Amino acid sequence: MRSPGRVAYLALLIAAAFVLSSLERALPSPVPMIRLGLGNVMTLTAFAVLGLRDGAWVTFGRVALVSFIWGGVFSPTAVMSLTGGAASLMVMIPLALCGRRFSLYGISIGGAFAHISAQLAVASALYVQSADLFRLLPFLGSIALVTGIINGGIATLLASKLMLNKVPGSG
Amino acid sequence: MREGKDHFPTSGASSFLRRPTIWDTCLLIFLLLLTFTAPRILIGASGGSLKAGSYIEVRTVDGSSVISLKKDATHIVKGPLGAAKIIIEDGQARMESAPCPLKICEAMGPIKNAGETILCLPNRISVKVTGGEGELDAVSR
Repeated sequence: MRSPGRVAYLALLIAAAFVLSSLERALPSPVPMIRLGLGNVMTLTAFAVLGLRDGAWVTFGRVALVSFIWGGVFSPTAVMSLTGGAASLMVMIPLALCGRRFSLYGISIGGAFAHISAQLAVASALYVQSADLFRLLPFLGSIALVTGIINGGIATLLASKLMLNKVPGSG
Repeated sequence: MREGKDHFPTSGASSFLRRPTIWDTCLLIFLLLLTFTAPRILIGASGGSLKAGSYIEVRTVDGSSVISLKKDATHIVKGPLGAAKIIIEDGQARMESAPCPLKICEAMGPIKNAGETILCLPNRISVKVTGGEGELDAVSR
């Protein structure tokens, strides 16, 4: 059972992830297709502060909120962000369980890479019916690795700060 | 401040909060390699040749057309979002001033080798280089 304080904490992280994702959507990207994926920072933070299961909830909560509020639930964008989120969890959780070998940096780049690969795969299947889109992988994948490192750094910093404070309502 | 069971840091979870480990570096290198090799494997025989092509096949929702790469020209192609400009210059084709929001197609740069493709998903336009050497000038349908 989660304590009420823990639930509130989880809700806070989901809300923050939602806000960051929304901001990222709203801001015009200076360079094409480059997104930091700041929503994932909150998932990573939850991994460290709350645990893996709550981290997964942060991702699914964020994707659900973004889809409900900014676009149709079954729109292609929503399908893309859901598969991206699910794929990144499917990589990040095994990495996290991997005998403490990986820090948040490694988990983050694994997730970022899984995210872009899954999105390319879904876009290929839905729109192009060919593997041509994967020509973008060297370009987009390299960027994903860089943003993955940045996000890992932000999450490490944020989680370290958060863990210094006693959380209200926890006892 | 840091002891006590009421703290959220669950035991073990904080092991993620470290400097990058050697494993992180290995993963990064592995993914970098994958980034550059996976497209070749996936696309396989369908492209990847390094021969300069002589035509581009432009596909839109309305159909497709074949344009010679030999002649410098500017082509306006219509998609659901609006008109995109395809510029052919020195045997290379590139997308310019596309109406899509992310401008990925513009960022994909010029293409010239057979099999290379520029895709603009939002505007449903694809430009693919075809043909090695050939005699056809321009065929449209």
